[in-house]
Amino acid sequence: MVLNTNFFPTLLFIGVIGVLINIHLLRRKMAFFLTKVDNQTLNLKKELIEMDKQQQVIYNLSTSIFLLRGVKEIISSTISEIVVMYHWSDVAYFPYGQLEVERSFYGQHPKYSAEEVAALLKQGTGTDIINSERSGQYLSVFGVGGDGRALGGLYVGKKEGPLTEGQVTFFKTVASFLTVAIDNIQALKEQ
Amino acid sequence: MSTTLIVGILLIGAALWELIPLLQDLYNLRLLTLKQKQTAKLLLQKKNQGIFLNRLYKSADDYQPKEVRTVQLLDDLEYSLGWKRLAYLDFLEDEQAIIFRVTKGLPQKYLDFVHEVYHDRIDIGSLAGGRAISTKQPLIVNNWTQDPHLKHISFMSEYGHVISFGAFPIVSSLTTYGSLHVYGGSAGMFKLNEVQFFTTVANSLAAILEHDEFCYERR
Repeated sequence: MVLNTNFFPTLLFIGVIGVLINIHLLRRKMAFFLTKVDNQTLNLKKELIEMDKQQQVIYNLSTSIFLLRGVKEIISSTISEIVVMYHWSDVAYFPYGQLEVERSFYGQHPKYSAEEVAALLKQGTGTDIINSERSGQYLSVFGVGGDGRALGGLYVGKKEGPLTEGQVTFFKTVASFLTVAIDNIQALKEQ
Repeated sequence: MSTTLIVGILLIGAALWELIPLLQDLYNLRLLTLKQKQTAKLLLQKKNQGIFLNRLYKSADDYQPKEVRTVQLLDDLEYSLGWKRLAYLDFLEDEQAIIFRVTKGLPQKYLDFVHEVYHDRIDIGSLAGGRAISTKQPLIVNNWTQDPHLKHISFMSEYGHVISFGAFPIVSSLTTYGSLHVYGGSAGMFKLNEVQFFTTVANSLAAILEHDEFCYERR
């Protein structure tokens, strides 16, 4: 069988066109991957910045714990750190069993009444966190106090959805910090 | 034939022309993946530190004697965050000195040195740990083979693979409890993040130890 050499240019032409199409498709896929990886990195960075802020708040609180001498000072300092450093405005502290609270002192913009939070606290005695949802808003109350004694509750509101795992860990740490700090101050006063 | 050749060459040229941006994209993808890996590693480290602090404060709910709490703290620092060489030094108020109470992964040669030269006691103001207690501020040495003040213990890097060091005083409003020592295997291990984290740990431990004392008295 004799090979017809006239076919070579046509074959070459078809081959190169095929390669060109493949490269083009590869580049489109690559662009998609690049955007995907870029977005993932951006999300990780956002999370990292949030974690940084959380750690900064805990660091600031731990350094101020021995400088502040009153329960009110500790609470207002904690709330200010969360509002200013962490940029979280829906946060408040409600002492257990006390319904009439000074809003300006205990929190920035509480969306729930003191009665509601107190009811939630009562319902959740002995638990770390209580979650509830109302008209698209999410409320979490972190119990402050231990050893069977409820001292109060740290109210945290979020519009976008329930708290993430990292946010729950952070607010639990803050609640535990408040327990230790308030307990220590009260014990010092008793002495 | 010549027209076909020209068309062929032009097409191959076009293919190569497309290949260059593809290679560039591949390079960018590699860079981005590396960046992503670094960010993910940092994030994991921060998350673990956050969980560690949460566990530390949560542990204050139950009273623990100081010895148990410090051992637990060093164990947790090792297993959850990977710090293998650690020590907790107790402050002796009457003697104005600190002594090694709990150690983890420290080279025997270093402990022998402290025993022989200092009789297991480090006076306040001497050595890095003593200076941290006297100033009530963390003391960081990121490469102690290059620190003229610590030449006498530079053998640590040869025998124990310990190059960087951090001493974090554990001081509450009323009491000086001691110092938390953290040793690193390579130079420059104590960056701002590590310094802030261990300062938080030391301050939190001081508050928890004070809390334990009040709990004990209440009992």
